[in-house]
Amino acid sequence: MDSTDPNHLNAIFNILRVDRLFFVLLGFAFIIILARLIRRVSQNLQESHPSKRVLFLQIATMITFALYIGGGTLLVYVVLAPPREILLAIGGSAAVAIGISLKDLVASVVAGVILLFDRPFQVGDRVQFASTYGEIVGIGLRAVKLKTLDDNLVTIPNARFLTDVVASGNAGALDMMIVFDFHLALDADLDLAKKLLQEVVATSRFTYRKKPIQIQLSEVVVAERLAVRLRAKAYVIDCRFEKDFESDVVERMLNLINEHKIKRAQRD
Amino acid sequence: MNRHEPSGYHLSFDRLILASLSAANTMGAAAYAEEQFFRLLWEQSKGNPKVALHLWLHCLVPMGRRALKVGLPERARMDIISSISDTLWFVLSAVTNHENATRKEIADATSLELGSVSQAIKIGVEEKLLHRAVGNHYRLGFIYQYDIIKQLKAKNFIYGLN
Repeated sequence: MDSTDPNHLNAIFNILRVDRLFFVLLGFAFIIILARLIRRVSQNLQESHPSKRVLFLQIATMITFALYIGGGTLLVYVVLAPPREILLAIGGSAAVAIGISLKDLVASVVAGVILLFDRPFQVGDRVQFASTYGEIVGIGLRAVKLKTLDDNLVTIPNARFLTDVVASGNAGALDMMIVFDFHLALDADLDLAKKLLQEVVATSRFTYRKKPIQIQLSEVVVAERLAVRLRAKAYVIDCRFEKDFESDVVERMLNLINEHKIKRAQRD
Repeated sequence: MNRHEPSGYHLSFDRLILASLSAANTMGAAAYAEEQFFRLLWEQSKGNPKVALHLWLHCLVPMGRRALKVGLPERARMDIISSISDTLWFVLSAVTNHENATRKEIADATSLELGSVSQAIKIGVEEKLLHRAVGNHYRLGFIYQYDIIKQLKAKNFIYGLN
């Protein structure tokens, strides 16, 4: 469209007539009032049916969203009746804007397909991703859902798994290695401590004894003092018992350390 | 059946077992019903003679002085297996590992509180997952034995050490 053409200028001025703009504003005011009314009705329904609060909230959100987009477009089209050229220009701009906004979504969908074949983790795996640790509960086309140990559901876009590091604790298996550390004084009875830890881990109901139990000693600095780190590596029968296994071993081992008066690493 | 014959009891089969008989096969009706029943018994006991004997004895209902009616063998209910709590799974794995065990032995083997073990055993006995043998020892319930062991293996509660 040539912007210097008097006919086209006339068409634009015709669209921007005061009476038409007034009707558009009036229409938008009506849409806003209608959306608020829907929200009010939804709030009342949420209060009267608390068990379906989320459902009403979702429905109200969807309706108001559709109302703003659909109602706004219809209003502009009917009241202003823009010529075909302007509609095409608006349509083209909208397509570019939608394309740019969907860039991340498309990247996540492509990443979802790659995850499907690459399989860095599976549903049920315990994974560490950035500062989030939890169990994978779903791998979708757009995002991965992870349940943390505090029962929070975290949604991570698939695209992030292509660039960031993800660590899987059990890689599809039911069992998973758990590491236990106890810090002892340098002059503690290490032989006895090793024997006790071996016994505690081996007799736990959560231990998967089909895989080896390892007991290791190393010298470390604790509270600015040299100490001995007594470490046990063992497998839990099911990764969902991870914390129960830790609690069981730590509780019984601490009881034995106190009972046998094994010296702990501590500041003088 | 050969082992049953010396007892002198006449057997009649449940109508559900007989329902599979075709009209053309009425000549050998008794033999066919026996065959069908023992096929069912084999399937449900998974070839375990002790379970088969238990199921067989529980299928028999007295009918008069020297007659017994043979009902359908009892089936394991899978909804019970799928709703077992973790504590009960630990109890069942301890019983499986030790073949039979007392309340105290189970508590020692699992490091669970005696109260929790007692509660789990109570539910296990009620649901026929466990049964009390002589000397207050608990064993796996007959009809659930196969399914419990299968589930315990699948859940890593029991495993071979090789």
